[in-house]
Amino acid sequence: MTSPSPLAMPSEWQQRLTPREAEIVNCLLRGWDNQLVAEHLGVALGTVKKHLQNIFGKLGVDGRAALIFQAACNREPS
Amino acid sequence: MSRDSRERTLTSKLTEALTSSLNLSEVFANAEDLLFRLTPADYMALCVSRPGPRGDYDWWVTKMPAPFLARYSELAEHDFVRCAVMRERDKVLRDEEMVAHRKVLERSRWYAYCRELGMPLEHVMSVLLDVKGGVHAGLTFYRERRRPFSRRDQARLQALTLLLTQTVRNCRMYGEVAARGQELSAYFQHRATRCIVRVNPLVERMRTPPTTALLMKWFHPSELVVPSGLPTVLVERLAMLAAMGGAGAPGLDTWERAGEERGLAGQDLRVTFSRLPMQDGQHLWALEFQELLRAIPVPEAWRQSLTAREAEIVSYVLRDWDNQLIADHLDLALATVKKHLQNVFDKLGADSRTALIFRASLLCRGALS
Repeated sequence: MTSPSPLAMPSEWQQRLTPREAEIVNCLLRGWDNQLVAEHLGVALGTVKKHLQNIFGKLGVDGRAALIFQAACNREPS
Repeated sequence: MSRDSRERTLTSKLTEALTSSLNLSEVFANAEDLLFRLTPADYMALCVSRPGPRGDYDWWVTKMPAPFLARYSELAEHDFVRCAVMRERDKVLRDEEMVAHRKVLERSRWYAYCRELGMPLEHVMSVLLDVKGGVHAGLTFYRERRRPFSRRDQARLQALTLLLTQTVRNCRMYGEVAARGQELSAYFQHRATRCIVRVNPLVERMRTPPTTALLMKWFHPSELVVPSGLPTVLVERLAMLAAMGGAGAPGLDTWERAGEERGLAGQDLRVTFSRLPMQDGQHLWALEFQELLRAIPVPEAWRQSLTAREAEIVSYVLRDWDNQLIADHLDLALATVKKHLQNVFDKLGADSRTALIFRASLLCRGALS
């Protein structure tokens, strides 16, 4: 990971995701699009999309916007 | 099934058992049967201790007579097994490698002691797991029969030594951080809002600094128990969970309060209860406090470039409502909502709903307490 993600991943997500899935979520929480995530991880775009389907299922969100919304609302106190 | 493939199956089950928990008692309970099947023996003992003349010994044993454990610390100096494995850590030794001659073993005080204690031992195989951090663990198998442990038994246990060492180390470290106050804060990142509680009697073992302020914000002083300072409602929930012994309690391990109850609009408090490993025969519990926003606030800077209607629609997007819900709520056509949003995207230079939510969440982070 090159830079810290601007939005923190809720700690309970970490427990539900595989390390690879968590890595992808961290990319999303930096505002990256799928193409950028695929290039960063050196995998095909289709692979990223497949991972995302699994991630959305595990986290019970219906898409990227909802995932970012949940992460933003589930803020750790500062 | 050949012996090799049977052993492979047992070994893989054992690996699973050894990593099944961070509570050494649970791990041992899950692993002991498999260890016995891999290494047939009459008794088995795992002894975790701090080195020293009169160390403290924690035992996990199978079929060992109680007097053996009760008297071990006074007899330890005569235990030739202990002396031998201490010299060669992480190496599995069979009795013939521990003493110069079988006769020496049979004349040893230890051999006689074990008979007195009701364990007529004939053969032993043991390894000292070098757990580090001032702790080591002896795993010993004993046989009453005159059938020595084989080189194959020895090689098999040797192959498992690293995994066994890691298992004990992980359990010890986790148990210690949960038990020792000053290290708890290292385990619980200091930014988190958590406290650790012993239930019976109620003793709060530690609390991260932000927790007190959060409790003051979300609870009226009259709701707090004296002297613990924890809210009555949470103490009651904890007592209920503890009484259930941690057996699956769906829905009970979280508690939520709507912000409106305390004049805090648009946010909720969620408390999550989780059971930590045992300490002194009792589980510790961690209470984690989270403030949840029901909506991301519309950034003030955006309001200047948006019309009132657009800002209103954005406020619903920042509640994670979809376009249809927004249209229904405002009594607008779906296409009208979409058109408004298109204008919003153009004005703010965002290319999607996701980008809008993302940018708002970054902007609001500084603005929130």
